Amino acid sequence: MMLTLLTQALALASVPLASGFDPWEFAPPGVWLIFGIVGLPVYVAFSGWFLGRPRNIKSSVLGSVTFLALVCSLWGGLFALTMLIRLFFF
Amino acid sequence: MSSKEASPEDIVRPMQSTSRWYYAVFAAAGIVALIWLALWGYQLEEGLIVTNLADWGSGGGVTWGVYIGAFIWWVGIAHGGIILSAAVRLFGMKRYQPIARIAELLTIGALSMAGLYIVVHTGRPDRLVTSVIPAYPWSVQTSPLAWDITVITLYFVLTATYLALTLRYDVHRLRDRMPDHLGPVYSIITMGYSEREDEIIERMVWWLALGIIVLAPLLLHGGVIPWLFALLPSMPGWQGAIQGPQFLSIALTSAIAGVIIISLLLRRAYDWDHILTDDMVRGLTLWLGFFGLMFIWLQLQQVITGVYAPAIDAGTVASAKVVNPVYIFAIVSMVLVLAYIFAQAVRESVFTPARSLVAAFLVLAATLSEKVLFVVEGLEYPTFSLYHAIPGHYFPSIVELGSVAGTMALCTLFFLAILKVVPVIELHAVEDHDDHGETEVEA
Repeated sequence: MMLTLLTQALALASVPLASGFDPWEFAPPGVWLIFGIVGLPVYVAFSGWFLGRPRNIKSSVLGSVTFLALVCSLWGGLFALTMLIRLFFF
Repeated sequence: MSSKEASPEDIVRPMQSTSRWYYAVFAAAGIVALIWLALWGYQLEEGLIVTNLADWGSGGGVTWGVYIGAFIWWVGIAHGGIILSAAVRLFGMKRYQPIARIAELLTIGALSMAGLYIVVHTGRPDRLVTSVIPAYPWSVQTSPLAWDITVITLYFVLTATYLALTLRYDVHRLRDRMPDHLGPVYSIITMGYSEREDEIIERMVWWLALGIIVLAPLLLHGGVIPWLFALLPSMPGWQGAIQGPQFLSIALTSAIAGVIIISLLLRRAYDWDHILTDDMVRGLTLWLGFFGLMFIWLQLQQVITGVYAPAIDAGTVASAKVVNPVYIFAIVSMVLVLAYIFAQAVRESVFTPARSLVAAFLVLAATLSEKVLFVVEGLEYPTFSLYHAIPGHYFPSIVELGSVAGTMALCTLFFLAILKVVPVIELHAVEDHDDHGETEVEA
């Protein structure tokens, strides 16, 4: 009985239930491109701020906060502009 | 060459006095901008029907026209601008240090105009942000448009961070010579400043320049932007790996032309002959020639492979392009500019700042024409000509043409405003200035 079950389990394990690991499905091309390749120079710049010499944590944090504040103000400003357009024209 | 010594007084002069010319240019740019804003308002009221854009194929229509062509042109100017500035910092090209901040500001101004074009081109711009952000986690996986938005955001923010960090040194030292009513702005810029940070900030800016010099040419204007077009297999005019180098060469050519124009106008307005020297303008003119030559070379590659024994679809679009008056204007203008640049390279007496100014304007007209034609003809000559028998060709409406003048006026207003807020020439450039044009690294 046990032997039959074991044989069946081994047979099942050898059945290809999927065609294998597909990296494009796991992370589609845009994800690789934007976060893997295009992002690299930005990661290098930020790593340089925090790990390179000379460095000062206060200045590195200042640079990072400026960066994030600018991202928020850019999209926040765009949101405000488009809402104004909605208010006046639609 | 002037024998005047450059000093910090020179670079704060725009903030301390206002000439009649300033008011005249401000008024003229303001009027043009207002006229265009009224035209845009008309478009928002009536819809994109007031443009000559149309459903693809119907009436020979194209869905992308001047708006997208001008968008690429402004993005190109922006990218080239920051590449110039990053090269100055990264490679120690001190000769061009006086134009580094002008190039950075040109990037901010030009990129803002490019972004505005996307808003203008959108039929319902009020839905822009709300449709982009929620869909982003999915759209970024496969959509070149989402990649484009990501990289342009990154790029804009990196440039603005770069500018914000470099301004701290200048504003702190020149604060007593800058207008009092802008005190709160200067307090924000110099928040937490101490002279001990100078060396560290300079290194941080170096790291940013390193990131930008890789990101902007290789992945942005030589990458994501041309991929918007080059990845579409049904448009032979857009397809192919050559689009990356072609876009990049146009970006750099346009940006150098833009920097030459702004530098020469500022030099005239503020007597900056001893800072923005003939020597520097001539150097920029030579770089303009180098990238202009690349532009012509890459066009030649496309034309030859398009007209000599080509595939049918590629042959159709290439044949249409080479006889189009807009294309002929672009190429003839560029060839004339190159003739001047090579003549002045061989014989120095041929060089004059005024001729370089004319050359720079011609280059910008040529690159704008080529970019708009690239977009339009790409759509007009697809691989499968389903609408071949439908008569008519796209020609931009007055609303679309007005946008080109309007965005140029807005960019001019941006520069006029910024002249009154911060020094457009770095303090380092006058501190390290050598009046005889000698530099640490010649380029």
